[in-house]
Amino acid sequence: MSQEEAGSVRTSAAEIARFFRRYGWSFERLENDTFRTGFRGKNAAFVALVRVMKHWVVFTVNPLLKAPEHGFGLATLRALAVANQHANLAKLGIDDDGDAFINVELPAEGFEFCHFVAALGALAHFADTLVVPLLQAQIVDERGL
Amino acid sequence: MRQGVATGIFAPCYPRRVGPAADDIAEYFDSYGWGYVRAEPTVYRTAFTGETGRYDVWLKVTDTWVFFCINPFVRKPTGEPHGVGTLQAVLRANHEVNLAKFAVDDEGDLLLSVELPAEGFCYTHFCDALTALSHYADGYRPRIDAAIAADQAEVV
Repeated sequence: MSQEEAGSVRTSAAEIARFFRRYGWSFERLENDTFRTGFRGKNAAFVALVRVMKHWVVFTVNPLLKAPEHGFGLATLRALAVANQHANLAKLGIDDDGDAFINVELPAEGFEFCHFVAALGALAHFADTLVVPLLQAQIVDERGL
Repeated sequence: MRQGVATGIFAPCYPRRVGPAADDIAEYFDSYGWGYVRAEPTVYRTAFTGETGRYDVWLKVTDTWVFFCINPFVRKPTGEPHGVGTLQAVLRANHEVNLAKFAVDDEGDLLLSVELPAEGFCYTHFCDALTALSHYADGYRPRIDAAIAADQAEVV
């Protein structure tokens, strides 16, 4: 089998549903390609969406942090940008509404259960770990410290 | 809705599959047609020249991850950390790009990286990662340079 053939199988929404059941997390299927689940960490509870696209499988918590009226300040922006270096597999950013999100994107080709586990694990771990320092940074910005 | 419980990022994978050996990466580079230097047994360096400049790419293989990184992608301005406009540009870019992400490193420089699980890593993923890095490095450099210039103008 060639290298291309080995990675040519794309995951489907039906497979994601099977992965959820195997992982032991409940879910709702919002659309044909979109699932909603939730988890509770040590610091907060989160709602996560999983979307299967042609090329990518995307796991998202959005909003991770709602934007204040005039947008995030320097301390919060810096905390988000620096966190990206340390959050393996996960990515933090700002969406079109100005809210902070965290997501994990993996190629749909060759997507297996172990990737599902790694993605949900990374999302849950870093969402819960980072939400506290991000809220602290937001307070620093609000108080002009 | 019943909620799950965070289990950490190193939950077991069944059946366990071995990720790429560092030697496999050399074959991937050969197939992709890019030159490389094997700086350490598990670390490779390659480079490409795009429309916006020449970029060094580092690739590191661990038991768990395969990291691709351009670091520094853009150095911080002399004596100053990146400003609000630059950080906003970088974080908004993270909403638009697939697979890759921009970040600020411990020195305050901007980096661009792709991280993939070692398990199940194959040549297709290698191609996706290098394509994403080269595409986004070139595509976002003008916007980020403009944001840095705007931040600098505000400082002055």
